Amino acid sequence: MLETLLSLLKKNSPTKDVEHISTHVIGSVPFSHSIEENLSYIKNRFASPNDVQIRRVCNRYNNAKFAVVYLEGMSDGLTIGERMISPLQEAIFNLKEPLFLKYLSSTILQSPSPEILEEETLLYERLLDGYALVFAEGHMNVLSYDIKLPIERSPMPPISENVIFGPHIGFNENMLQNYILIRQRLHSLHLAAKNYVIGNDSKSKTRLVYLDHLVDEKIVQIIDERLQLLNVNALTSAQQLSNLICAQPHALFPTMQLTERPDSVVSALLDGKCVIIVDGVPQVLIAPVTLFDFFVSSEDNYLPFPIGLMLRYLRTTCFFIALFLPGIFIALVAYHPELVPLPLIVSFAGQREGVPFPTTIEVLLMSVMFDIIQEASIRLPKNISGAVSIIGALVIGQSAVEARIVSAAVVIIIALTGLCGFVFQSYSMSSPIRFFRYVNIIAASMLGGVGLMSIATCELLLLCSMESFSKSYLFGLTPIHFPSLRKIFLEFPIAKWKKRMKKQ
Amino acid sequence: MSAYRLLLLLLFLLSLSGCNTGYREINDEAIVVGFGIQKEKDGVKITIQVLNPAEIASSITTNRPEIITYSVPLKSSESFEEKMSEVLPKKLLLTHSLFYIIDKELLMDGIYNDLDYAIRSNLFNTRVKVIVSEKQKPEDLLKVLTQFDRNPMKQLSQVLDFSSLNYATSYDSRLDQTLIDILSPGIEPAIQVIKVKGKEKQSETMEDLSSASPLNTFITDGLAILDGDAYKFTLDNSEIPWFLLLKKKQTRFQIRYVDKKNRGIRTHLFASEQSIKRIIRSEPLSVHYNIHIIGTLQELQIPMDINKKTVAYIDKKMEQLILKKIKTTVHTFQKEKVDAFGIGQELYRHHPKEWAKLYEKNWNEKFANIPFTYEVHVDVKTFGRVIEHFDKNEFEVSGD
Repeated sequence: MLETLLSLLKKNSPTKDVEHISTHVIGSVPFSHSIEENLSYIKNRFASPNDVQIRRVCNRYNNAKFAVVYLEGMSDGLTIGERMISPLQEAIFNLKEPLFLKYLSSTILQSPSPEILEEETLLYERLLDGYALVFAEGHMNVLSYDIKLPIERSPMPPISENVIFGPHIGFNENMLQNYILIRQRLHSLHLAAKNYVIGNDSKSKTRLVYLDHLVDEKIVQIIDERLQLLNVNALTSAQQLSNLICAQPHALFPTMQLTERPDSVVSALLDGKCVIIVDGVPQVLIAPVTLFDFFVSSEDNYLPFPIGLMLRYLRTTCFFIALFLPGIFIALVAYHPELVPLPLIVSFAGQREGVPFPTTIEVLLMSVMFDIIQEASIRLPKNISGAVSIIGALVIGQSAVEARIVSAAVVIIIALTGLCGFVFQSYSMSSPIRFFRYVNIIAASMLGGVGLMSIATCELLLLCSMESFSKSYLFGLTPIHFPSLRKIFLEFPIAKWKKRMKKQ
Repeated sequence: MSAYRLLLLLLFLLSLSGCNTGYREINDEAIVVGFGIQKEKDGVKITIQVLNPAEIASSITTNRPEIITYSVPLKSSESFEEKMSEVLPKKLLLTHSLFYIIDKELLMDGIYNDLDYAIRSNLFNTRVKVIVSEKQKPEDLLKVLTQFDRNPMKQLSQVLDFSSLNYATSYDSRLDQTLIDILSPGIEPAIQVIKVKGKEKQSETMEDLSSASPLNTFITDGLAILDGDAYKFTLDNSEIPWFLLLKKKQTRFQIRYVDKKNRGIRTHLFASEQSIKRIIRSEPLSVHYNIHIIGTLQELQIPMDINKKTVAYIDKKMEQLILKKIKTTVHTFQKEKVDAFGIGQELYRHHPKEWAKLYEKNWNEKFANIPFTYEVHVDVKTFGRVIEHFDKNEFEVSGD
């Protein structure tokens, strides 16, 4: 599977490596000595020339002419005025010196990253990055200054992964800041990072981070290879990247974990996993993952261990409830009522009195209604989503039962199932669960228990066949590896502590 | 690829659904909770008690009845389900039936064929309780409404469960065990007898249920002991604990010793299956019981303090009483020549050759002459809060 994907990717893209993508040579036309010529040339290269802002400066002592060029909105105009225009106007220098630009960058225009550009392509890259360029009359080279206007928010609590205990800081859209958030929690010399620029047009900066003494080199190699071979026009989300680089793009269960929490990332790194940060995306990708990783929440480590373990078992139970409960309900009520105890079957039958739909339609109807409400309340602004939930609760919970459209038991079952789908810290697990729930409902309504069992077997086979970066998705069960299972389902800190004490 | 395979499988499942007849709606089924079979002039009459789920499960009650009974007379050649479909508009769901009630008259003739049909046709749950109605017909028994539970059969079932578990005043006879006992050599089945106390005709309508004291109550009325598949005799209710002890079943029961001055000692005793040992010797045939019973003191009218001596006295009196009762029970069975204790079965299992050679042909006769010996140990362990008796004219424990 991996080989075919790689060969496909190779076919589609001319063989380039990362360095080539980042420098991307179009042509290296030498600049003219005349500022005006250079300016008009640059302006004409842009499809929207008005975006290019030019500020002409004339030195008050020797009338030397300069031009500062930047893209509107990308660079900080105020800082340019203060730190570039005024020094250029006020300084005393000799423009005709051959190493004038170097002198300029080291004495007059002091900035953390001055750079003398000689290639045309690099010039556009810098401009598009938010740098300001300085042209000097009579000099063919250009000086670039990093005066980006940051459009970013300060780190906020993660939106999709709330915890009660533990840190309340989440990643934001700035890759560097995200990296620093990780770095601040891991003061280790072993923290390694590789940089990539992905997207022919978007040129999104991407960083692969891992702890080099813990990580499996093979996995780093695989991710590195796949990231280098990527050929897309633009990278806009972490999910998109995940779909692009996983070996099974049709895999329905997530093969990479998305997280907004630095502490989750740190614990993943300490587990020997790799992390991919994409610039402009607040979610960070963790790979490789197994199914069991989704049953773990970062909060578990902040709670007493029996409670943390209990919560993991609860999440595991919820996983099965969310997948199978509606299916089991249909199979029991419509195919095997003999298996239901008498009081329960009487209760089901009593509630269904007067309901016009068959059980299957009833369950499907409720599931769809629940999903609609869920989708609607996610998309709506916070103030209105509360109203949607109330309407949902009233319409579904009460009116539908009172109007005898559905029975109360079905409402309870769908509500429970829906809730169970959201107990995982990572939201990316909820969607596949929803998908397979429908599959299970259909299978159960067609063949009852037999249908449910056969479809469950297929799902198990599907999970067994899945891989996340050469690691089996059910690692621990297939192949059996007790230490990794124990780490999730039977972690006793006391035993660990004793071990540590013995070593000392 | 796996997703495509899954899709293919779904399509495959879809194609299978065309020949699917298993799908049914729970509302289209009649949930039967009681099944009665009684003898009629030419054939049998079958009565079923069907629940009205809307009335039982809903919080708002209407005037509709919670249970409905349907009866059909059946000739020997007719099928019960077929005949019932003429009366009842729904498919029968007999698996939740709580009782299989047999008429005593029918029991006299033998019930093997009826029980065999019940198990073989897969209509019933094999663990359905089998009871015999002696005074009334099953049809009348199934028409009785109860005040405590909306489902009369459930109430009856709970009564039997409770009494058999805690006081051994009833016997838990099930369909599968009854049939096994009928078929097995060396053991005869026992079935609980139930009767309705009161004027059973009066509580057929809902209005009668508004009275504070129940017009009718189900009560246990002894055990019907069968010989083969036909009725032999009825064992009294009070003898059930001893019958269970002899059958090596776990038992909880109360007994009361009364002295000459009519003062009593009552204990609640417990014997587990492990504490009842039965040793059967083949040549010559003899049976020895070693029973160890523990219990609590519940009533002490004889003025005595609780000390080593008095405890030994209480234990001894209980032992004597139990021994006497057991002997009477064994005597009853030996007189009737029915081995419901499973002694023959155990003999057959341990000494199959000798069983075939010596006992199989006329086991009942042989059973009637077996010498029984007993060893009963009672160990009363808890005595309540009062150690010293308030009556200072203390009772002297004599040596007897």
